[in-house]
Amino acid sequence: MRKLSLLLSLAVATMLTGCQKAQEAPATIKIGLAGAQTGSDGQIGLSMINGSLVAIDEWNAKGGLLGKQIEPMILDDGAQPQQAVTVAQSLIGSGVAAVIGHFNSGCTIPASRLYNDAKIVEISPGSTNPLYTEQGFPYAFRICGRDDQQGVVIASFLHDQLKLNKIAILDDKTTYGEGLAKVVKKAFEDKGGTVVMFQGIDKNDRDFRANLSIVQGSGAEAFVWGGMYAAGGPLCVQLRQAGLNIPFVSDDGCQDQAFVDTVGGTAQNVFVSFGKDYHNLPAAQPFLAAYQKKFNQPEGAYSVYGYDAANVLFTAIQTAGTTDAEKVSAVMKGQPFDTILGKIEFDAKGDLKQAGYVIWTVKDGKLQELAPTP
Amino acid sequence: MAMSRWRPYLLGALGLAAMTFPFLWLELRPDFANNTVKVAWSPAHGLKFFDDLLPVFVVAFLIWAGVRANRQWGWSDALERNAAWQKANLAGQHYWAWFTMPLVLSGPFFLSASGTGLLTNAGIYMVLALGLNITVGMTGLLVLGYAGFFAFGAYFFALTQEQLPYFPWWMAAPLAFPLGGGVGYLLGLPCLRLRGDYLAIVTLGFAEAFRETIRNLDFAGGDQGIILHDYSMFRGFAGIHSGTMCYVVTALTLFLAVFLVQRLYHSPVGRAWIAIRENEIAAASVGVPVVQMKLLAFSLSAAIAAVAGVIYAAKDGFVSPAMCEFQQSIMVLAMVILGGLGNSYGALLGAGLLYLVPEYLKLLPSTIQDSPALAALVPASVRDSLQDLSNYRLLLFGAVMVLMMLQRPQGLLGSRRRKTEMLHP
Amino acid sequence: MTAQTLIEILINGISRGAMYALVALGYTMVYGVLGMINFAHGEIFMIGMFACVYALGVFSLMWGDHAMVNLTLAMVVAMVFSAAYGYANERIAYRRLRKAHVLAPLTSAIGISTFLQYFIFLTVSKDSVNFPRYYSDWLTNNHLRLGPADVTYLQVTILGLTLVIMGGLYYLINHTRMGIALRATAQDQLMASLVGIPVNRTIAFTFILGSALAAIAGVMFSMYSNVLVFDAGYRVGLKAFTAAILGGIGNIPGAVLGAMILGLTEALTTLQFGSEWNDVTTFGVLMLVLLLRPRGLLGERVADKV
Repeated sequence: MRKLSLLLSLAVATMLTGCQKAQEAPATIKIGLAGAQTGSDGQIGLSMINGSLVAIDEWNAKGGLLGKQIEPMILDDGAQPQQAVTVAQSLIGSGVAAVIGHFNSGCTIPASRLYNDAKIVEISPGSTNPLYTEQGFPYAFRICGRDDQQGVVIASFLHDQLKLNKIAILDDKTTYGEGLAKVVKKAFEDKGGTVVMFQGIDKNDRDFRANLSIVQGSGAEAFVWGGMYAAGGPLCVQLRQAGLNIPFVSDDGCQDQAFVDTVGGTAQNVFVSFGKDYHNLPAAQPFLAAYQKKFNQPEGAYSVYGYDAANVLFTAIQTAGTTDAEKVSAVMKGQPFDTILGKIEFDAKGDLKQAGYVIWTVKDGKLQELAPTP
Repeated sequence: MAMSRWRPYLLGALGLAAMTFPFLWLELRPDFANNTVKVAWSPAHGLKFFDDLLPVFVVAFLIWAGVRANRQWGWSDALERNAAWQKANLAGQHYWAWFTMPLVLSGPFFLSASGTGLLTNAGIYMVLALGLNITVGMTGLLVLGYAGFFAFGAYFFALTQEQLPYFPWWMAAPLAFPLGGGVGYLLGLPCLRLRGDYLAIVTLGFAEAFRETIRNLDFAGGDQGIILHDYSMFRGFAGIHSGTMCYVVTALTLFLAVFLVQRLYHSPVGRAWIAIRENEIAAASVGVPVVQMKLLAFSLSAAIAAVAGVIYAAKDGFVSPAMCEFQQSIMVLAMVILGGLGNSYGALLGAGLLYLVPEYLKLLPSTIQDSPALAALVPASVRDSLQDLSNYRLLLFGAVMVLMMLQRPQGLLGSRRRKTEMLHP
Repeated sequence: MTAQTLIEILINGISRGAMYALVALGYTMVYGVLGMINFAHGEIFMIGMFACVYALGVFSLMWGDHAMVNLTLAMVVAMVFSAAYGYANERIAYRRLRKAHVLAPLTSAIGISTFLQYFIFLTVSKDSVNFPRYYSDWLTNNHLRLGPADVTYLQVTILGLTLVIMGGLYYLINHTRMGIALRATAQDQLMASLVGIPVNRTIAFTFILGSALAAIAGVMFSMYSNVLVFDAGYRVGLKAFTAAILGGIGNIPGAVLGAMILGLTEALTTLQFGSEWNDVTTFGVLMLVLLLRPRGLLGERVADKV
C-alpha cells in the first residue's frame, strides 16, 4: 500500500509538472515581474511590482506590444536568494520575454546568471549593489543608481556639506545594507574623516540600544544606517530616545512614507539618499493618479522605478520589433529613453549613465528633496 | 441531547470569533500628528479574508465529506480486502524500484526545464529528509539545526573551489561525505552522552553560529555568499542540458541514499537504533552500545546533508548564509514528521509534498492561463481567486500541519504499529 | 571606552535580558509541566503586542487619550487576548497530542506558529506598525540618574516587572495549592489525576499564565523598540528559548538568570566584537554551559524525567 501510494504521488507530481509543458504559440507577450511579496520586504517589493502593473495596463490599453497583449507573470521570491533562483527557473520555463525585477540585490545577483544563460533581458528597478552589473552579463540592466555612487554621495554630504569628521555606521548585514555601508566607510575615510563605529546587526533585530551606547561614548557626530526602513525607523527613534540628536543619514532603503511615519513627521536632522524627487514633476502626475486609482493607496518608493523600468523595456522591445534579447539590449544601450525621472541612457554594463543621487530630508510629514545649500 | 453535543463546538466557535474579532473586522488608523492610534470598523477587510479563502473551505468540506463517506461505507477497507489489489500491491512491493527508477530518470525527457528544476529541488529536499529521518525517526533524537550541515557541505565546496584551480562538484561530493560526518561526530561526542533534548539545542546553536560566522567573514562572501566558477557547477555536455544533468545526479544520489539507509535500517545497526528509540535504558541493558550507535546515526545524517549541500550549490551556482536559516531546518523536520517518522519512504513523500505543493500553488494561476484547455475550463473569476489564494499559502501550510498532526500523528506513511505508539507510548 | 559607556552597555544588556526573561518564563513553565517545547510561544507574544495597540485605539475612541490609564488597561486587554490564544492553542493543537510522541505536538506547534504569523500578516499589516508613542513617551523619555549613566523609566519598569513576576511565580509554584497541583502534574499526570488533581485544568492554567506573561513582554518590547511586526515573535522567541535552556529549562529563577546572562553577553559582544557576532557568542556561551552543567545553570532542581 505505502509504496504504491508513493508511486501514485510521484505520478501526480509529474503530471502536474507536465501541464506546464503544454505551450502553444503564444498569443500574448509574457513579462515576468519578480520581487518580494512576503516577509519583511514584502510591502516595498509589492509596490514596485504594482508600479510595473500600471505601465502594463497603459500599454495594453494602447493596443499592446508588437500587436500582442502583455501578460504579467508575478512571482514572489520572499527576499530569499534560494527562492529567487527557483522563481527565475519558473519564469524562464514559462517562456517570459523579459523580466522586471528582482528587488533585493541578494536575490537579483544569483537570479541574473540564469536569465543570462537563458538569454532573457532583466531590468531591476531597485537592486543597487554594484556586483549585479559587474558580472559582465550583456542582458542585465538596472534603472536605479549603484551603491558605489550612492555611498559616495552620502559620504560627501556628511563631510563636505555638514562638515563632520566622526561618524558611526551600522548596517543590517544584507548584501545591500552591508555593501553600501562599506562604500560609505571607504569614501568617508578617503576624505580624511574617521569612522568611530562600524558594526552590523541582524535585520530582524529591533533593539539597538547597546550599539547606541557605543555611539554615545564614541563622540560620533553623525549616524549612518545601511539597510531597510523596517529596522531603520525604530533605530532612528531609539537614537533620539537615547538623547542623541546627531544627524541620522540613511539610504534609498529608507525612502518610504512608512519610515517617516515611524520617525515622526517633525523629526529633525534625518536624511535619506535617493534619486531626484518626482512628486512635483508634471510627467509624474498621471502615473501617481493611475496608481492611486488602481490600488487605492499611495505609491511606494520604488513604484515609479517599476513603472519606468516597464516603459523602457516595452519601448525597447517595440523599437527592436522583436523580443530577442540580443536586439532588445542593443536598442536599450543605443538610445536615450524618456521616463518620469527624465531622459536616461544606459552604459555598456547596463547601468544608468546619469544616476543622480540627492539627499532628502523629513519636512512637513513627508520626505522632500533637500534644497541645495548656496 | 443534540444541544449538549454541539455546545462545546458552538462555544469554541464563539470564542474564536471573539479572539479574532479585532484583527479581522477592525482597522488600525494611526494618527501621526498626535502619535496616537484610532481604530475603525472595516468589514470589507474581514469579508475579503473569507472571500479569498472560499475555495479552501469548499475543498476542505469535500475532503471532510469524503472521509465521512469512506468511514460510513468502508471503501478503502473493501479495496484492501480485494484479492486482485493485494496481489498487485505485493508485486509492487517487490518490484517497485524497477518501475520507479526508469520513470524518475526519464523525467527530463517529458518535463519542461522549470519542471525539472522544481523536481530537482524536491529531490534535494528528499535527500535531506531521508538523512534527518535517521536521527529523528529511527533513533529518536531531536535535531533542530539540520540545515547547518547542509550549509556546511555547500560552503566546504564553495570555499575549496575558490582556492583550488579545479575542483568540480564530482570531486567535492565524495569528500563532503566524510567531512560532514566528521563534523557531526565532533558535535555529537559531548552531547550524545547526555539524555534528553540537548542534541536539539546544540545543533540549533551550531546552525545559527555557523550562519553568523560565514556572514561576518569576508572570505566567505558575507551575506551575498559565494558565486561559483562555471566549471565547478553542473554542466551540460553532448546535447544534454545542465538542468537535466543535475536532475539525473540528484536522482541517482537519492537512490543511493535510499539504498544505504534501507540496508542499514534492516541490519543489526538499524535494530539497535530502534531499540534506542523505544527505550534507551532497556537497550543499554541488553548490550546495545548506545553512545556509539547514536553517534553513528547522527554522523551519517550529517554526512548525507553535507553531500546534499554540495549538489545544491553546484545546481544554483552560489551559496549563501540563508541556506542554514532556522526555518530551513524546521522545514526539513516538518517533512520528516509529516511523511511518517522512521519510514524512509514517508520522508520522501513528506519532502515532495511540502516542497512541491506551495511551489505549484504559486504557479497554478499562470499554469491555468498557459494551457488553453484549462483556461477554457476554469472561469476567470476562479482564476483570480486562485491568484489571491497563492498569498495565503503559508497560512494554509500552518493549518494543514496542525490538522495533519491531529488526524494522523504518525505521519502519512506511518505504520499501524507506530500509530499506537505515537498515541500511547 | 569610558566608564559611562560600560555602565550604559550593562544597563542595556540587563534590560534586554529582562525582556527575554519575560518570554523565557512562558517557555520554561510549559516545559516544566508538560516536558514539551511550546514553539508557538513567540507568536503569542506577538499577538499580545497587536492586541495592545488595538485596545489603545478603542479606548481612545471611547473616552479619549489618558496615557497611563489607557496603557494599563490596554495591557490587561493584551493579557486577556494572549491568554485566550494560549488556551485555544492548548485546546486545539496540544491537548489531543498530550500522550503522543514528543515530536507530534512540536510539529503542530510549528504549524500554529506559521498560521498565526501569516494570519496577522494578511489581516492586520504586511508592514511594521508603529507603537503609538503618545502612550509610551512618559516611560521612554524620563530618566533616572544612576551614577554617570541614565536609565529610562521603561527600563526600570521592565526590570521591576520581571523580578516581581519571577517572585510571584516562585511563590505560586512552591507555596500554593495550585503550585502543588502543577508540580504533581509535572511529575506524573496519571498519578496526579488519581489523587484528585484536575490535570486538564492545571495544564490549561499553565498555558494561560505563560501566555499572559508573554503579552506583558510583548507590550514592553513594542514600547522599547517602537514597532510591532508580524514576525517579531520569531527572533525574540528563539533567544528566550535559548535563555530558558541556559538557565535550566523548567526552572523559574533559572530562566531569569539565563536571560540576564544572554542579554549581558549580547551587550558585551556589541562592545567588544560588534553586534554582528551576537549569535556566535550567545551560542558559544550556551555550549560551554551545557558542557559543564548539562542541565543548565540551575537545572538540577527539576527531576530528570527519563
